Amino acid sequence: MDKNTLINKWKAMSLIREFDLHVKEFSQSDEAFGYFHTSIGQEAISVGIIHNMRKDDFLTSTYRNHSHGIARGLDLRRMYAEMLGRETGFCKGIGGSMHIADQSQNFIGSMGIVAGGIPIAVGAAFASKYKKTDQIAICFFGDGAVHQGAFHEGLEFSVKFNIPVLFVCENNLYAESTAVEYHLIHESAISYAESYDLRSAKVDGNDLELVDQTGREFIEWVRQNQKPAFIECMTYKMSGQYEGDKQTYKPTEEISFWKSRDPLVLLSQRLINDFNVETGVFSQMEFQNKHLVQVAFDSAKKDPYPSVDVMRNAVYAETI
Amino acid sequence: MTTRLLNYKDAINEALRQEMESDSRVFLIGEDVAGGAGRDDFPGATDAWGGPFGVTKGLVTQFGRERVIDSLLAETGFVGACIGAAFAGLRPVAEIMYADFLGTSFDQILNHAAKLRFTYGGISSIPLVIRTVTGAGFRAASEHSQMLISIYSHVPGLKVVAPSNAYDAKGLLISAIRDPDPVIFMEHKRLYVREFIVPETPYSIPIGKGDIKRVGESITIVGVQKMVNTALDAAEQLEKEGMYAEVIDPRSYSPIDIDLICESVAKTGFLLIVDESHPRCSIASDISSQVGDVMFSSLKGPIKMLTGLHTPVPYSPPLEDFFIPSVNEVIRYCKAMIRGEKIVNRF
Repeated sequence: MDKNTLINKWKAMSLIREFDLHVKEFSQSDEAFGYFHTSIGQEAISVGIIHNMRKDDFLTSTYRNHSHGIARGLDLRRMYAEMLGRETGFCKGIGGSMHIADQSQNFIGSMGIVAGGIPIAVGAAFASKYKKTDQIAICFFGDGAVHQGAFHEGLEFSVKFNIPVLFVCENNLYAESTAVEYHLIHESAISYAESYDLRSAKVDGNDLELVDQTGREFIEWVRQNQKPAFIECMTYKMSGQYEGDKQTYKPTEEISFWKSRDPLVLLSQRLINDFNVETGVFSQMEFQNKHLVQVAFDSAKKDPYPSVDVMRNAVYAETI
Repeated sequence: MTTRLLNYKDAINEALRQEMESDSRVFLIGEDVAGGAGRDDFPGATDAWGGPFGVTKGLVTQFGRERVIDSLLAETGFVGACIGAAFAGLRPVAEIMYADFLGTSFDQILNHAAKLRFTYGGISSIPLVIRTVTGAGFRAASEHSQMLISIYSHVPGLKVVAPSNAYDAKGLLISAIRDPDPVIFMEHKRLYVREFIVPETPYSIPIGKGDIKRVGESITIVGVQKMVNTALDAAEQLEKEGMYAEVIDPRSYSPIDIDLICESVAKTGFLLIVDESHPRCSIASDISSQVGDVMFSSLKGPIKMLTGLHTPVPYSPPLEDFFIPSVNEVIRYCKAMIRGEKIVNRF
């Protein structure tokens, strides 16, 4: 990747980081309500994979979805409006932080049920195949999801019926608070994919260039071959399971190790060392991103709450 | 319009066939819906099963394996895939072999099919049909005999229909396939070979509209699915004794046509609900509460429920026969209600 592209990727990752840092702070304030799950430390996966998707490709995410939404280009103000329960939010305030998605852009949903989106992504990709469009589906989930029946049944369906879907496991080393060495049977999740004969790769999920390269290659392969594939991205859940999680279950050495492997730090080091980029460039981008988030938050806060009719009309489709 | 006698199973098959002919987005998926047909190494296995009751027999021959798909025995996987396919513009008709097996896909139905429109602001439409098989009377024991209509009717975002005859089955299935929302379509296994007059051309019956199956003035009987037929048989005998029962078939359980029942109760003053399901938190108790709420002053006696027991469905023939409300029990309840006598609970 050239210098400018890498700088743009850093900027995209930093926007996610600044958004989640703002959410983190806001979540501890008196005005906050609901559950918040940030992706701090996992930004390289979202940018690396989602920037390689086509606009009409299908996407499913999880309750840890802010990074996927921002990488997909979702408007920050409408994202924040959703978290504040306002009618201008992507789900008209009905979904909240856990369910941000823009269904009008084939972002099917962010499922609060672990592994819930996996068979659904498979089905959307099945429809592409049935209709002979060349859209694919991309499905994000965490390491905890690999124990669910929905994960295994979704993978098996995709293999048996040759469905063009890319599974992306964000292995952040913890299923809620349980460390991978306690919950995975093998060392990592990829062994499950291999057992279903899926084309699969395991990558350092904090290395933007590596994720981007693998993501591009796999997305192209899935589209061309009309078959499923699986990428496991190794990363670290820096801010815990939910905002407010004191993370007392994590050793301090582990936390400092992963701080040094922060994807933004790794990419800025690469830009400084190999492309002679000055540190001021990063602080300037960070400053701009902070500003964008603050503006989004301030304006979303002024938006109205939805009326009861919004809730009533959302249950069933009236006409088609 | 050509009409002829057709059984419930063939009426459903005809609805599927006609909708698949007119709309290429419609496809079927489920365990054995193609019945193992179309094997490359055994072409003779054409259309072996068509499901355990033969409902989808012949469809794979006409539409091919791309549109009539034998799923894996993994309900979460294929029901979930149908939700995604419905989101992406197809019209999936999934078959869950027995309603009892819905449990293995319940998260996909409860949290995703029912909520994928709502949670994301009412933008999308999930035009999904899940056909499944209900009911006792087959000596199929506790895991292949349940009704479960009430469980699905409890969930906002789902529509639930359960026809009692072949005519309603065809018209309601066509409506379900054309409906923009997820519909749980429940077929009673004891009705499959029962015949009724069914027009050949496609027609639709609106979901949420009940039907008066027999007009009467003495008492209103609401039957749930197969119990409509039990109620009709009872009504015929009651007439010989000068009691005229009005028999109502709600046909849809979500939404449910409570107004139709209330209008009948306004006329008769008595309401008996016959449901072979368990009594607690049931369709029968729901109807009773909804009608009681608005019709109290019109009632000449308490609303009664004649239901299965609060036990799972048993295997042994005398026990299973006891479990299911009978024509004689319906007659006994109706007579006692009309005469204002105390009813000895059959339990």
